[in-house]
Amino acid sequence: MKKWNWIVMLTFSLVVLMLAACGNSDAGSASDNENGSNNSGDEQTEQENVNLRVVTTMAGTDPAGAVFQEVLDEFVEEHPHISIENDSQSADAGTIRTKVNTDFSSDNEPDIMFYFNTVDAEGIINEGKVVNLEEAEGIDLSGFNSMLEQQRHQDGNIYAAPQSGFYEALFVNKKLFEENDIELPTTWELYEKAIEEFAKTDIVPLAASTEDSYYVVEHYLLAAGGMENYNAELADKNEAWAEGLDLIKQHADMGAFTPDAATIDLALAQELFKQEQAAMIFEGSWLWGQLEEAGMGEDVLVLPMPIKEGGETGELVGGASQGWFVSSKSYEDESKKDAVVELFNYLTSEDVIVQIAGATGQPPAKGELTDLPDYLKAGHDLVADAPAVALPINDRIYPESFTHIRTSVPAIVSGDKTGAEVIEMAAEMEE
Amino acid sequence: MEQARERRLTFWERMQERYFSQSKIGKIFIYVVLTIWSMTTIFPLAWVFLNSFKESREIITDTFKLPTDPTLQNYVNAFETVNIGRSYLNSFIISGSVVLLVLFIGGIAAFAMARMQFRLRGFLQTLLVASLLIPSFATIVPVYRMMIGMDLVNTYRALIIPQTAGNLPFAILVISGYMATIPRELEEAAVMDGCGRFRMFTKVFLPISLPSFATVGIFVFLWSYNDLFSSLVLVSHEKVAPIVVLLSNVSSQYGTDYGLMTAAIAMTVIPVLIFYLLAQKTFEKGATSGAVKG
Amino acid sequence: MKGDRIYIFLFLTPAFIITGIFLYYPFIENLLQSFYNTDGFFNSTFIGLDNYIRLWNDEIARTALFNSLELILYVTVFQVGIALILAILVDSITKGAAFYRTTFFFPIVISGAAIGLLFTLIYNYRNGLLNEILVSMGMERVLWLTEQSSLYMVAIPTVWNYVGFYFVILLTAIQKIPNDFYEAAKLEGITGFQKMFRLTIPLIVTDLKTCMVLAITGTLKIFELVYIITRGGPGNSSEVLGTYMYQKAFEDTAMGYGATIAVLIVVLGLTLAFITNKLLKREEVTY
Repeated sequence: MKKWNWIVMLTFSLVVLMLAACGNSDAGSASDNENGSNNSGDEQTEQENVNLRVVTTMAGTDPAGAVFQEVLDEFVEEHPHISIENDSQSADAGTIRTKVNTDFSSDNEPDIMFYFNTVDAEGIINEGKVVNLEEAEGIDLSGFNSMLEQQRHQDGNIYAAPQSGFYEALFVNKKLFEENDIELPTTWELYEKAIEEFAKTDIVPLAASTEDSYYVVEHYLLAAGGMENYNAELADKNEAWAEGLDLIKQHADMGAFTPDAATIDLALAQELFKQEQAAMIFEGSWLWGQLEEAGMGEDVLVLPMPIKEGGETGELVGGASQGWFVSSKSYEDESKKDAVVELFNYLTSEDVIVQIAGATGQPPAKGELTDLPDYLKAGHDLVADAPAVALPINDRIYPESFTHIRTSVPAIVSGDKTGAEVIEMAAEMEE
Repeated sequence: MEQARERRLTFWERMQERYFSQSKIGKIFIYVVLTIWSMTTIFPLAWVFLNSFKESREIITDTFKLPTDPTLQNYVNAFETVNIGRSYLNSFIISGSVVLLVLFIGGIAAFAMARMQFRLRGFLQTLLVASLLIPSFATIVPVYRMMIGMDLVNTYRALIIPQTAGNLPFAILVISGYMATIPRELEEAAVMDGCGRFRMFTKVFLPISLPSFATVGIFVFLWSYNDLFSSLVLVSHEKVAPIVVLLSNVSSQYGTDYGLMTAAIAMTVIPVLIFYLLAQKTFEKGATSGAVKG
Repeated sequence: MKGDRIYIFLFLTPAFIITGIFLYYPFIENLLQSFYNTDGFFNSTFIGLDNYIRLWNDEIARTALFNSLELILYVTVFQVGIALILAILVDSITKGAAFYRTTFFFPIVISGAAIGLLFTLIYNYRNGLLNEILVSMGMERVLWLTEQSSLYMVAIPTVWNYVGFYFVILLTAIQKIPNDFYEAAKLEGITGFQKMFRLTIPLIVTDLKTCMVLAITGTLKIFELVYIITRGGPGNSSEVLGTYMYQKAFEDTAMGYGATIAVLIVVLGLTLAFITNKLLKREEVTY
């Protein structure tokens, strides 16, 4: 009995040791892995070695991912004393916000990040965790187009430098319009006419998810009241917003959507359009890659949302909702500052911006893409000629409120709620 | 006695007796039912494998057809996006450690819960059930903070420790449920032989409960291995990331690469199936130790 | 047993230390968050019980709650039920048992994302498998996911997906029944269904209880399949607590409210597990 007692004690103490080891002693070896990032300042070489951690969303099927890594490699080659840890994760994986927020609130922030300069970054900015780029010494903000100004925060500072923009618009399948002898929806009347006409055929007029109704909501709000009302605050309970939502129902009753619009997601809506089973779709410029893959780039035309009243057709939802941030902690760290500034200026140089934008076909924040196919060029022109461009509504209003609006569309369509009720409720949630 | 029992049989039960259990028809019926069910379970796996040889678009447009023009491109892409060998190795180190830790720590705890009487037992039981209910979304941020604090982010331990914690309650409940029904005589016999509690565990309860350890081991392995969410937060770095992280690479705002997705799933599934087949050996042992079935 | 105390302590301590630090402590943080209006990181204001009051009045949460309860019913009855039947059937055959044991496990290993996509492609209105079959037979397309049907349509894959899990656990349990029990039963002329109800089930009742608890707790956390197949819709008709919590905590960054829903999940699950235990209360059988 005694002997076994002893063995048990031994096992137990082993377990405890192991647990303790997890907590303490081995932490030393763990930091070996990331040695450069933390303690590199101790090593005095000719030029101090610096390790920078960069977080971006350029990963997954984002065509910019590979280009970005190349660009980084080039930088490291030219600056042998700097090493870079590319901690990029596709935004679709759903963990990037959690990670970034936790990192910033736990003193573990990345040195430079390419992140959403939207309501998502609000907390980080308010806490002073990122640098006001305009006042940061050495940071070069010259040469940007209007996308830079769009990044200006309510407090008047600029915290993020754009890489490239996007636009949202009405993508129409020209071929289907021609085949069915229907006029392109360049005005509100023609748009309604197109819905009516296609509803009579086997072709779905509008491919859309009414649950994931981001783009539908944005465009109908824009259509109902033009840019001025689109830019209203939620708290204003703008009438055009309510009207826009009611218009969705009106068109749904005309047969604009598929019967299962309330349960399909964006990907399946895109699929309807790509399989030429739907004539129109509200989407963003990132859709082009898929359209090209489906071999229908030439058949598709982007049109601005026709405005019903109060604005000018041509106004767009778009801009740059992501940008390069520099964390205050790294900027204030003398051992890192120069390297961080250098990398930032490199990443936002025209050369690199155009290179990355070239991979995605999006309008760059500096310079211009050349040799674009006509259909892409048309989109870029749309942006250049737009009388007004504004960011998507969900980038600026309280997320819960927007989710309420977006997920209420099926109920509006079924007649259970009215647009005004939904906006009322959403405004209430914001408070 | 015998008659009393006979009378308690319902008509339905007697019919069962006559037509199913003791007849050829009964056996055939059993096989038909099992085969139908197995067809529904083979279907999705076949679907994944077949689709992994198709182009991305074909997976949506012709998903239930055989690949017309089989391609290995998806696998080539998968090999390009992550370092496959390294990722598999990471997966095995992480999930293997989680399984061993859970089985050891959980095993002894289950033994105590199942075979010893103490005041807090009911409370601890409740605590265990409660922990099955804690969603991982609710714990990830504090855990990530702790890992940052201990400087463990992007080390194997960053994932091993929380996963061990997350799987322990399941292991303890299942293993202790199994141990609870082991005959008391065995326990008493062991005491007679002068065994202490620990020896009783290793010599009597562990061997008898081996099948349930295997069962638990399989599921713990599976869950640990498939835990994309925690992996992305805690061990996203390529040096330590497990194979499942491959699955996070199949989409972005530019669209989902369904081809890459099916290939990635096929590649992640294979090791789990192998692990399952290996662990099954212990079921077979359990089955044969119960001798021939009537 | 005399002197057990030290062993109880030794055997339980490691398990409860590690779960305490990495499971209970984070959950307590979660519990605290439920009293705040917070995004979980930077903005937080103490609001007392406001989140709970909001939860009480939240119609969507109520729908989600009842949907979750309904799912639990289906899962415990059908998932555990089918698994039990399959386990007993597989146990009763000798040839091919290994084949079935292996194949029944397949759906569990495939990630929820893939199973979700599979069922999405089966139910889809325009191009889904079911409607293609209907169309090829000359019938009209059917809208499979409606407000009335959506919960059933997610219940089917949910139940089916994890039958193999309970099958494996129950089969393991059944196979521990000593063979002499069956021998004795056979001598007494007890076979077939009688054997199942009089012998097998009573002898694995503890394991069945474990399965019920696992089914209840697992179902309350269900998220991925529902999220992918119906996104909780149409019109919240298939919203469950898991999807609603995810939406609040992650999409809407209302961490405080999400935490409140998590608390509801835990409390509800404990209550249900407690009831199950009471209902299935029996002296624990040993062989």
